[in-house]
Amino acid sequence: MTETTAITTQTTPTAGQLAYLHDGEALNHIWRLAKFLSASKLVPSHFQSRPEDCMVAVMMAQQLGVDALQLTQNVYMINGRPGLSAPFAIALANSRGPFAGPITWCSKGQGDDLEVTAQATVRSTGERVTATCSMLMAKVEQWTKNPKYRSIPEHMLKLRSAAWLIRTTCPEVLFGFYTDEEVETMPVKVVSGTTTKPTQPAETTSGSGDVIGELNAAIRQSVSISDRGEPLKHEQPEPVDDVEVDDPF
Amino acid sequence: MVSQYPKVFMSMSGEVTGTYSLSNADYHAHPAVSKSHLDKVAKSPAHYWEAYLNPDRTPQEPTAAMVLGTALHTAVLEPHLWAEQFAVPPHAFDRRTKAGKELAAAFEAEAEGKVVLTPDDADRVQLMAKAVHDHPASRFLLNLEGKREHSYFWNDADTGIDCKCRPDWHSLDRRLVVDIKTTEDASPAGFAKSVAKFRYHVQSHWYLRALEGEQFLFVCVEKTAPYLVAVYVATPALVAAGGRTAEKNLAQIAECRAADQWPGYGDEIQPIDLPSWCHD
Repeated sequence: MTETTAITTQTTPTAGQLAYLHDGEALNHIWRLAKFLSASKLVPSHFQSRPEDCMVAVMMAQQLGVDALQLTQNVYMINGRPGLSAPFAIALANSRGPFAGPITWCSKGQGDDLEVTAQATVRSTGERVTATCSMLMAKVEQWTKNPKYRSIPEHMLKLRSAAWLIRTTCPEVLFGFYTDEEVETMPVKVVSGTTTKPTQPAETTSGSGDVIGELNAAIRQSVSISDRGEPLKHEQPEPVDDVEVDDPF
Repeated sequence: MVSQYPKVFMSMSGEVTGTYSLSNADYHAHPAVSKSHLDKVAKSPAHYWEAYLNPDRTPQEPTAAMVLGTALHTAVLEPHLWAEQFAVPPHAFDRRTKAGKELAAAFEAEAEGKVVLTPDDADRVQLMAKAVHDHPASRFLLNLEGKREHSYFWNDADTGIDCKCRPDWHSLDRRLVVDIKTTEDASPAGFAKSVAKFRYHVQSHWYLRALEGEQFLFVCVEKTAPYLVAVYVATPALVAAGGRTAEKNLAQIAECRAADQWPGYGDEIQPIDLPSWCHD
């Protein structure tokens, strides 16, 4: 399988593109561009009305040497980290990476024994490079918290193995940015004391933030890709008796 | 009903001893201590005895709020059970006429054994359920793979008391436990008051303890338009506070059981003062 996502890219950012770092006019220009983008319905909802985020996206786009609008379609904020969509990362590697052709995959096994290997050939040396991800690895690393690892495991392992291949073989392509899949499953702290036998959950102020942050990121993503629906339209029923404020359930 | 439970549940191991897919009625009929039991003994041991031990106790009729809460739970979590649990009259019957009497009789026959909701309340429940399904966070949570209305039993090692809980929903890995709450005020300030008033902090601890869970989430839905929904996660401090209270309540039940004494508010004259929040 090959990734066919088409992207408009340049190989490296030029000094002119990074001018905003020392040129106020260039910075103002990016800010105006960001405001235009944030006012557009063409950018995903998590960028709408958020010119600051759009501005960062424009800067990221310049760093990666891609079109800003294209980047906004392929970047998600997850738990406070930007994550690039995996197909976008693969398209970047295919179009600007050191490979002679596109990344391809081969799979073997089924179910819990499924393994997927991403492979490519380095153009300059002819060396065959690979990265293998398996369901066993997915379980150990807890990637399977994402239900797609149960519904479309091979596809998920393709994205994961390709991201791994890119990160290990040509990290310069992504400038240190992670894919959304990787960000989603980065290690999180958990509340200590709740994994042993039933006992008092520990009183600690740490732990919930990361898990809930992950959930909120996923919720934001789900909102951005689904219809939010029309506002409720209804007739107002008669008020209930105000005997009890809440129910005990 | 109780005899059907496996003996393993009656072990005193102090570990989680059982998880069952029971009907709501079977769960409530089981004598193990639930969060509601803790609430009763917190009111007074006499209230606990009256509610659970008095052989001549009269069954408590559910309040209107409880009926609404039950209906919402069914509509959101087990919609396939709606028709067999609830009956809604199509309109008011004019019982002065023969036709009206016949229609009323037909409906009463159909509603036998079901909870009867007024059409207004049924509409309200459906709108509340829709609001829960439309809210991004609650929709996301409830669309994850999980178990609904599953019953859990364990034995408390410190007191030897059998305990139980029945979360509305939890994720398959049990890390997330979700409870749906109907409320007049789902705002952060409003629901915080409900947490204190209805001891939801005790519930958060009780459920997390049973499931060895990590996060307890409240899906709160208001009972009036626009049926706003808010989803809150119990802070570790809130859960821990609930744990301290639960431990105290459980110890009191154990003490009362051992002595077979179920006191009320005290037999002697006691000083009374304004509540602390009312002082200048």
